[in-house]
Amino acid sequence: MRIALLTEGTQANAQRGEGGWCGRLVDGLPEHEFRLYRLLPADRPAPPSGVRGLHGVHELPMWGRRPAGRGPAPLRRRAYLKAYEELVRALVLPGERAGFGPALYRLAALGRDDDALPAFLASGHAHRTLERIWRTPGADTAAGQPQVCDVLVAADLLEQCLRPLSAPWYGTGPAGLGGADLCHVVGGGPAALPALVARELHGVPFVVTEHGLHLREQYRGYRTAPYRWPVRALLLSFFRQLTEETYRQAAILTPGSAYDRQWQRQCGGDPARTRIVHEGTPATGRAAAGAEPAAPTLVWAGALEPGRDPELMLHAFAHVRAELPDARLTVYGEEGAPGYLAHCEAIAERLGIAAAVEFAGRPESLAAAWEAGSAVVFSALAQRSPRLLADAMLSGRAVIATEVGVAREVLGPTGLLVPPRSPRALAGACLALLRDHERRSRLGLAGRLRAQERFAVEPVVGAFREIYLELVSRYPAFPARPGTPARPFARPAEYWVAGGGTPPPAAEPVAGPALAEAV
Amino acid sequence: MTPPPADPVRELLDANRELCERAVHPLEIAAALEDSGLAVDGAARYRHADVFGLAEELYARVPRRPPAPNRCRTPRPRAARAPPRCTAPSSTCCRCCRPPRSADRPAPRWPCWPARARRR
Repeated sequence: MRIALLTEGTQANAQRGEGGWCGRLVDGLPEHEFRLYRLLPADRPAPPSGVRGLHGVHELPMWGRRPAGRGPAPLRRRAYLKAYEELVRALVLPGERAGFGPALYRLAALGRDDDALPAFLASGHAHRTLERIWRTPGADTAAGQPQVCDVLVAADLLEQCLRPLSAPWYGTGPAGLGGADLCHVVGGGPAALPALVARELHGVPFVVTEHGLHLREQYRGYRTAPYRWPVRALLLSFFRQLTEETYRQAAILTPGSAYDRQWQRQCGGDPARTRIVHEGTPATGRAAAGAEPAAPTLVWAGALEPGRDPELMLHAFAHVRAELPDARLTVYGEEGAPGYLAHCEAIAERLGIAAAVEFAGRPESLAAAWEAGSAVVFSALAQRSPRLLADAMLSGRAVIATEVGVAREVLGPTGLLVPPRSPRALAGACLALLRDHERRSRLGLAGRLRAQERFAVEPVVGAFREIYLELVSRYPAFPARPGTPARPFARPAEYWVAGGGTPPPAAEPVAGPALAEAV
Repeated sequence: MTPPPADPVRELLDANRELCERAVHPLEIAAALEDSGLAVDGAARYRHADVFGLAEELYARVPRRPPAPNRCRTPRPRAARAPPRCTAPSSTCCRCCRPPRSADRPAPRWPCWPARARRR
């Protein structure tokens, strides 16, 4: 199959080496042809994607200076203005939310014809439309009394967010999304825009995989953004409508945890089309940590910032130390908030445990960090990603965590859960484990087995192999517009055989299995 | 033993009043509550099934009160920093771009003030 991977700013993927999640997926499914479509910041040099075995990489600069180009001709401008007005009305008027999708597709269709969309969105005509609707009495944003500078800022941000609509990707050639059998959006947000347009235009189905929801991160990030309230309201409304439209149109949603699924459900994700696919990690092949240190030691790891709550750990450790005088605490992690390390050191000094607490900074590897302790403690106020918890479980050390976010579903019965913000409860759990070697090793082993089963790479690859095949079998006659009757077996079997372009050398030996599977 | 409070949401509402006044959607309150360590059992303490229901109640009970508008202090993003000229309608383009008007000169009529400003 020809699969288009759509991502935004794959810096995180490149950092984790081997192409990250996308790289593991492409490596695991060599029978399919993958093309990577990336949205990148315009003003910084793009990091290499790190994914091997791709049949093509297409990049679109986003978030930066507007690409050069002329606005639409006066006659076409009226059509542009109409679609843009409908879009803004859907963003700010509660009764007109349904117009978001049609307006988006109309703008994309206009922009495809004459490439004038970015220049139009930055023009005074668009600004005037935005301002007029923004100040309509019934609008959500009217309470914030938007000013002219808000209009300029918001119009500029909207223009940047809508840039994927004018990407040169919507043809039916080998490089276009119209020639793909399905799109796979990794990460959500603006990366889903090309998939939405391709679905509207060519009927290509798409899968959405999110590890850490884009919308939730926007809500968290915009709280401290330097924008005024009306701009924040408009942009968050845009991201919310975009997310809802994405979830509505997606063929399958694959959140990384049940916690994320709950959020997706709140944004209109259909539970019948949602499958949880845990984020696989190559660390499952790692050997378990060796012998425990001589002194009973607790390990805490994470960025030093208020959200991770190392203060709770220090307060709990003071209780532990009162009962077990030879207990030690090692805190790994770099400063996440300025001055927070000094703050933590001052607290340790005040509690009289400074001699037993070591702030060890960044460990050379996570495995070494877990190995340094008898038990691992997570005291965060919010645990949105299962990544660090799973890595700690894979070491075979017993894990104690506060019961927030994904902690309960990741740990299950193999770790101890305590309520957040409760030093006494956390100290009790730590003491119970530090005093009982047998229970500690039993829980550690159970946790390692549980993490190996859930967070291995092979189940992820297998899940997506099935999802892809299921999707393609449900869309037998595309490319066809949605709504037209589907004709099963409209394409001969040869249509699905990989190898339309020039496959890379790594993919050649697998042409046989691809043929067998496609037929 | 003291009886449970009649309105347990009240104290949460008082603690997070500014957040609720400035929120643009219940989901924003839900994200903030989760960041502050409130999980499912925390929501049960406020007699809600999940954080989203609690956030909706908070959003509904507090009227929106965005921060008062002041002069344009928003730093514009790079692409919008230098527009060639003010493109918004001049009736709304107030203090941020109009030249200071001196007392001896009569107020220019609407369509011509940018031209006069250039001649000066």
